[in-house]
Amino acid sequence: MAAPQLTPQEIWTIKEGEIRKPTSAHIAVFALLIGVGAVAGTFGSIAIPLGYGVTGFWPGVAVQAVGGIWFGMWGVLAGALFPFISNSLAGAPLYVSVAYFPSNFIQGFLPAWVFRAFKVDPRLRTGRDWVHFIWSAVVVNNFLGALWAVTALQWFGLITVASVPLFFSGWVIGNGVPALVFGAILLKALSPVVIRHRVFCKGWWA
Amino acid sequence: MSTSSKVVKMRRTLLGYLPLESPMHKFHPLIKTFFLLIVSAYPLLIDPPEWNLIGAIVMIIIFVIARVPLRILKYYTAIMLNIFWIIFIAYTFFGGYMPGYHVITKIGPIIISWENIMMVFVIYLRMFFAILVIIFFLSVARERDVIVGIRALKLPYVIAYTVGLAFRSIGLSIIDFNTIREAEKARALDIKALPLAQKIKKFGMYIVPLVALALRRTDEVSNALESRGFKFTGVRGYKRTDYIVSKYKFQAKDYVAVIVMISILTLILYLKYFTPYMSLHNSILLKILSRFFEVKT
Repeated sequence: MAAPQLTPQEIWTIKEGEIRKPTSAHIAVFALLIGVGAVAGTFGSIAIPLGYGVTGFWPGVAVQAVGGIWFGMWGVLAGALFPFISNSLAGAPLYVSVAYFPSNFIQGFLPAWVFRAFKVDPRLRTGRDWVHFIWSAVVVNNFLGALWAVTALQWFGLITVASVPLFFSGWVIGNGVPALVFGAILLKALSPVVIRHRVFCKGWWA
Repeated sequence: MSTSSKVVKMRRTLLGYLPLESPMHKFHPLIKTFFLLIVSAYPLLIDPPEWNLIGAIVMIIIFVIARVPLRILKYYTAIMLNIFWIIFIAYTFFGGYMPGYHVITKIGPIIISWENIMMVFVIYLRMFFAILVIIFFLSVARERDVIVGIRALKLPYVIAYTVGLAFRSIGLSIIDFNTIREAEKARALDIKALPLAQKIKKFGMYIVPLVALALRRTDEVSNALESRGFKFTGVRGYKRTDYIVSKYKFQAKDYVAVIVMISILTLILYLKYFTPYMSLHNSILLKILSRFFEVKT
């Protein structure tokens, strides 16, 4: 007999008597997401580099967005940390990677918060799910991330005011396209399995 | 039949392999992390390009002394060149113009000034030095070094475990990645023949099986931990045995290395904030270049 379909409300609401605590499985998924993200991110950083770890195509952002949606703060933190490894392997200096931390954090945090706050179905079944996914995991999160990143690069004196549009658009497009394509594929393909998995986080930590 | 070729024993590092006789193995693992944290700050604090150039030359000498195979730098040649072009284009053509700038030439509406060209050298040599520092760290540090460093700093075991598993999972993800590619090749997909856009698209698609495999591995890892009664907090009343940490002791040369690194950092800070030696106006290299561009500064 097939498992009953969960409604978006059921996916995110903690039932009466349901105990959810962080376990070793959450720590394992956190570490393993760093690994997957580092591999995906390194390739992207090398594929179409714009300099300082900014790239014209960065599939790592899909791991950030879906990681936060599925695994709450574990996914958000993994998404914020794996760029340290991928950027370093792609030749970005340590303190540039440190400066990107808030950008990478917000890129995973915003969709994670939106999906929980508005009880959005991670399986992307309705138009409403798609609208929330696109604005939070494709457009606004990458816009905010790019805003911080170019500010940090300028603060370090690595780019000029006039070259901000180049890096800003590079970040937004380079992240936005893979977030839309691969993020949607990941959510559509794996959400039905993940939402029933023990590592899925209805809250922020469990 | 005898062979005269010498077998060099190597140890796996984060980026490649390091000969066993490398002096870097004689230092405490924490020194490598300190090196990354402290020396990475040097180029950010230094403005005159000749100082960063000296730093880069010193780094290459350290590469040689540490017996890091210099072919590793070849992998980064494209990245280094790319960064140069990005900085060159960003500063030369999009560097902006302020009254008082020394105009070298005009290309249509674009004014190429000495001040912007100067910044190309300043920023690029800063990046060059900083990138060499990170490449050196990745070339000499091992996963174990990072974990031992965390344990030596007495950080909670769960952090060391998670970092260790994260590093291990990078290797596992690469193995999974290669397995997926092999499976594609077995189905007659010639990845090399694909145009770049298709290659990139294909790569993106690998994320789905990689994440699915990571999920499966999450179950395996957590089941293995739970079936052994493993607790991150350890058993109450008992001290956790730190076997790997017990193999390393902080020795005199480790203290000397830390003192040298901190002393140089302090000297740079002093020169930058209390003397004129670190200002761009006193840069010898920029003075030579300004003569080359026939600019009177």
